[in-house]
Amino acid sequence: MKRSKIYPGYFILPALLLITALYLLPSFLGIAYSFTDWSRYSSELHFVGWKNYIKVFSGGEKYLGYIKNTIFFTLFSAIIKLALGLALAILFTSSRIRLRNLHRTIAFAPQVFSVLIIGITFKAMLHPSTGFINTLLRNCHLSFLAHDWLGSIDTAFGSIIAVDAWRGAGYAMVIFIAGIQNIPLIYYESASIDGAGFWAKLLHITIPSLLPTLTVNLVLSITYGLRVFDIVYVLTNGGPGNATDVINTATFMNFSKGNYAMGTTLSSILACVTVIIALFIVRFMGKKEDNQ
Amino acid sequence: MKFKKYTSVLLSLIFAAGMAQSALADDSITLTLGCSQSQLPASGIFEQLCEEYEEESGVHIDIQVTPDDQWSDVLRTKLSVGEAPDIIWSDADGLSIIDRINPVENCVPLDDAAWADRLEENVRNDLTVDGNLYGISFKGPKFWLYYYNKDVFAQYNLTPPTNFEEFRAICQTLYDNGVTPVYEAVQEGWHHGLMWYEVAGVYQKEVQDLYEKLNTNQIKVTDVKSMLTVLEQMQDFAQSGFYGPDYMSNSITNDFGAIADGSVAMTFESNGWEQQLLDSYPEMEGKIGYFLLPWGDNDTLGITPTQNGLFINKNSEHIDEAKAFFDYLASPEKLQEYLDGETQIYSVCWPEIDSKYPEELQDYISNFDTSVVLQSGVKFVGGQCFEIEKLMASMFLDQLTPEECLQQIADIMDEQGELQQDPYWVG
Repeated sequence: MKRSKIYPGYFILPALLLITALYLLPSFLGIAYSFTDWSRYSSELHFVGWKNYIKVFSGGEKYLGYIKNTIFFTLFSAIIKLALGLALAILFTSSRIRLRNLHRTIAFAPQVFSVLIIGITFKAMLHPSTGFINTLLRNCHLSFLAHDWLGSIDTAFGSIIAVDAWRGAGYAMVIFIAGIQNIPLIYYESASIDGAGFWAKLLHITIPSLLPTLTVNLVLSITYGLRVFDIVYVLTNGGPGNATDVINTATFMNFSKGNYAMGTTLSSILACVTVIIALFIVRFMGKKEDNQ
Repeated sequence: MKFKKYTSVLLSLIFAAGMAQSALADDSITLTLGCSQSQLPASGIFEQLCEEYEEESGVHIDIQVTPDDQWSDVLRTKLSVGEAPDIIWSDADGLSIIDRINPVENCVPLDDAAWADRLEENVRNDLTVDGNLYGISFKGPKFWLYYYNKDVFAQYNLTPPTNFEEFRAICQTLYDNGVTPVYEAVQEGWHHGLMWYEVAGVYQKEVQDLYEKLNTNQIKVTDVKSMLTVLEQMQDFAQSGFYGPDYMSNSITNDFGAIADGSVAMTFESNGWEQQLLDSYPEMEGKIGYFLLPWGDNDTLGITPTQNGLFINKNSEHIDEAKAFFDYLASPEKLQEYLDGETQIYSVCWPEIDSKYPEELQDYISNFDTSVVLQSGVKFVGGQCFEIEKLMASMFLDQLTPEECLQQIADIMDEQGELQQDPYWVG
């Protein structure tokens, strides 16, 4: 490429300054605060070293439970959202489906709803005695399937994941649709001529071609899952008890108690883990693309 | 082309009209008032008083309501970023006022208010920090009782209990006959743990000068055996099914219907609940009884002297208007109107206004000694984003033993003591 056609390096400065001031600097400051005793009750700051981090990792089951819940939510939520999103994308790019745009809009609609509205609605729908779900199950003579969805330890987390998957599948679908539409049709035509069926095309054409898109969706889903807060807060507020508490609800609770140092400690741990996982995924998937 | 021209002219006119209206509207003053759902009387009397004030003064009161379990966090956030409303309605008592609202930093002193000396002395003391009065309050002391459906009790030949064993036996009888003994609503975040705080009289009988010893870190809650006993009883209740199958997901506001239709026999509610029930279910007149909390064989009426207060935001642009609003609310006529229109309370914290306790209730509660409830008398319990109540919910679900729950409550208190750099914790 001719040098004269490359933009000068200083063109990146405004964006770099904004990102540094609004994102990088607060992040590093937050990490710095996690090594102090920052709280609502004192304007003085004292360096306490690794005390907060030691408390998190040796604080018994409490903090480790939050980390376990966060990983559990991330894993299952990502898998369900991506699988559902891919299925919807394949369905709504099929020429056999009419009014594809309308279907795509309906599938994407939950993404634009306020999480608060979703929470209030699903809390009502999932109520054990008056909720729509259990009422429908009872009316269909399936009472044995009715549960206290958000009030039982056995079903609360699964219910949250289900609601989150319902909300997020449309977003994954949109990204997958963009990827599917970039796959040349000639691949499918050639495969059809060679006698390949639906599953063969899916495994050997669609999914390999969607690797970049899958990477994007995976990174987005995992980073969202690790940072989840709103859907847990509105549905259960970490309950019943602490059964569905995740790292960010614990962070919020610490900020509420005035323990800002512990709050920033938890969020710093989360930020580091998120960055590492995201980098790993991007590099791993990037290598797969190169191999192809 | 012409269409675009006419459209742009029309839009410009609409925009100009909107700006003009906005400019005109700026002449009127709006006072924003932030509160939680349960602070606002369900009868609507407070909104009525605000409307009357607006008619008289032209000042509009914009009431901004937040769900109970979020209000304290929302308030602290708004105060931190300088976006708190002009008037703040916050839970507050002598121990928690600084933590909840930090009035010295955030609120306007009200010592010069004409009504300051008329406010009940204990309440005035609770709303005073560093010698300055910062808030105004209206509600009289609060206490909690078990209310029961007399017809259901009569059906199974039951009489109100006088101790815990009798209470448990009653619940077992009801449970065996397919009636949910007690209505509970754990998802509210606070209700299911309140009885542990309210029977503080039991703990105070076990340990002399209990509150002073707890507040000076001489003893921990784990040293008070009766506190463990009550937790064990609470766990037993939940796991015996006495709260019904849906207690983890119930909403407390639905206890009216549950008691009225007899599907639930008892509910744990504050003074004034019966009147609220009768407003919606007048056929329940004369069919509601009550008895003292029997946990731990309690025989003392737990009192919350000061429930909450209204404060004026120091950063408000309408401090004088807010003070005038407080003066209006504190007038004897409006205080009487408030009490007459409020069904949840029987008295206000203004000695000049006579209470309206029903004679039967007045006679009943006069049989008991009173004690200040735990959360009003002991530092670092209650108000910590319901963390203690979450532990109790975990205990109900067998995630924690009562001993572990009490130990974690002690740990929470120690954590707060160190965080707030209380001299009795940090030395």
